[in-house]
Amino acid sequence: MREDGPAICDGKNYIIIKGSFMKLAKLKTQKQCQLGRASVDVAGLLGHPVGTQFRLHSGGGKQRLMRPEPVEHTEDLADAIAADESAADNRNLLANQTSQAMTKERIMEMREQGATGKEIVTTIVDNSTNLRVDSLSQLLTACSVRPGGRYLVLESGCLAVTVAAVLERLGGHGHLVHLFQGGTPQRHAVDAINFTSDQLACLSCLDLRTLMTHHPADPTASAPAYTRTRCEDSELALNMLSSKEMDGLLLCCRQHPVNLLRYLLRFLAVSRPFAVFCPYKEPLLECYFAMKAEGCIMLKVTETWLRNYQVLPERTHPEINMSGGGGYILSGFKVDRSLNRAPVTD
Amino acid sequence: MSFKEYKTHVEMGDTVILYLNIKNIHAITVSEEVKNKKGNMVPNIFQTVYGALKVKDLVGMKYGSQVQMTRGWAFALHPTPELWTLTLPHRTQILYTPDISMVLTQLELRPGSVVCEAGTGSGSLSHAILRTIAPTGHLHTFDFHEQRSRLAAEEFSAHGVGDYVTARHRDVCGEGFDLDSVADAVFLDLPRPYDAVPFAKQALKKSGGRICSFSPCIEQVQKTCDSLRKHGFTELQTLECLQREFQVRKSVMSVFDLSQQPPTDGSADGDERPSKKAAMEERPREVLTGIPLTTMPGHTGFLTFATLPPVMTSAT
Repeated sequence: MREDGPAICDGKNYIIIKGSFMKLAKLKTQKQCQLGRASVDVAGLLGHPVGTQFRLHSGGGKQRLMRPEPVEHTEDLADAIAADESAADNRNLLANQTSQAMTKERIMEMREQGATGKEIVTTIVDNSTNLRVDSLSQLLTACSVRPGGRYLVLESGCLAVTVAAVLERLGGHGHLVHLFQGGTPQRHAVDAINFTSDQLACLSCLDLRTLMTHHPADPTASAPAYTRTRCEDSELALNMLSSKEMDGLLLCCRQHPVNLLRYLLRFLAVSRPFAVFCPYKEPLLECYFAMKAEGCIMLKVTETWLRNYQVLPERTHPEINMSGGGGYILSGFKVDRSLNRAPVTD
Repeated sequence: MSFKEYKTHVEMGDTVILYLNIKNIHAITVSEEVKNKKGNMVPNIFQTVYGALKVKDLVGMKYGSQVQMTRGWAFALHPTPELWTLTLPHRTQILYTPDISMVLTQLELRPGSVVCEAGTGSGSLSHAILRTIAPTGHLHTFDFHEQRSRLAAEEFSAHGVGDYVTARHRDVCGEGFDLDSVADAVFLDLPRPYDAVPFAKQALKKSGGRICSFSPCIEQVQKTCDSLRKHGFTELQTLECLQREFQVRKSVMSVFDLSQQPPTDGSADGDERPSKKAAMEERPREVLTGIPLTTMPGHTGFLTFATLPPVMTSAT
């Protein structure tokens, strides 16, 4: 008996996994779903619970259209290897015809199930900023992102992954101002996740130049008037930022972050954290000293190191390849250095 | 009370994070009096390297402001689960933020998530989970140690998050979670997590869910992965996540001057030596450097994640 959670629907986005091949796709009945070299008949996927495993059966025709069939029993590639006694020790493998034939049959079976191994993994993260999932997860905790909080995110070059991640953590409570620079704000990741209208209501976008018109970087000079672009929710965002009481500041952009960080710090409330992601360490060293000069505390420049393991009976070891680097993070807290005299006791 | 939502000023009963310097950060409960070691109530005075602080004088101060003491000052910071992890009283080995961050992300936690956690330990991860799943989610947390379970429950209550959590004294490996099809995610930090896997499967929703097991030893990981596969979990992934911190400073380095040739006739006398030395060096250069600390945490534990797909139902 199956209790259904959300069902796979036409027109929504899903992550489709075939072996180590991962893809983000919008399912449309009019179109086929392309998975590597194979095409999948979308109609066969609809209506089943999200998370269902499907076995792909070869269809006919030149298009190699595959027909998905939901399966109850999940067979992992690792299970198949573990069950194969001959794999424990290969000294007899060549000599024994029977075991060789069995292995071949299993490999073909796995291919039908889609358990191939070496295809390219597609993600929604843009390579240019090299933001890895472990760095993203550290950014969220470095800023203590919580539902009900008000966050300022300046992001470019990450396809709105940071914005989407914060929006998910808000879950419809609180607010996120997405600062962008000219043109239209990136929306890929935000659009890809099927956010509800309540969740999306927490997001407003604002062009950095519009912000600077209302809050010039140099208060003595007057900033040149800037024509608002269409894609902004400037009134909502400006009202929120004008209070200068944001609960967290997140920077993840292509430019050198130092002057942006200096400028945006004024919108952060005291006793609240900021976090800056940069693919390079050196700009963050400059930011460290800039923030120290602003009186910030708990300044830290870190990188995370992620290593995956293959865990199989008698064959457990770290995976052969690991990611060389996932970028760096500077984090810290803004404080108020005007002295508060607490009556002292000796 | 200040764990539930952000506030601007300190109130009686709050937990304040007192920051003196990077090696001196303390969590203080704001109260007039405190119980001393003998069990007597005494005025709550917190002794620091910079002098004594009458804790009740923090009331009314703005969070983030500077607190003056006899020989220096400190900052009163608003608590967050991350700061709590750095300052909480250890009753067990705890999880730190780099691992906690991966757990929150890979278990796909968000407001409304229902989570099972075993064991509660010192409540480090618990506080981070509670923050992430509030206000509509719930945490069921279990520990087989009665006192630890009770202390954790008291802390959750004192921190204003008692409504979002049920802390139980229970051995989940032997007795299960006593929960059926309610959880979106299960987290295990147990000596024998593999024993809890079938119970975890039962606790997870029929529409599927995520599981994570944290184990310091590879043998535990192997047995857990075995158990996960046997019980129909898929997408197994075991990883290590370490954070490397950099020591940031402005280093001054002397620079050898290649343009000056030292005299070769050997006629230099004592008076000339200082200037000869100066001539062989350019002006020193200030370099911004960030080098890893000489020692860094090399291992905390292995994190194993897996998915329970919707088609698998628990055997009845």
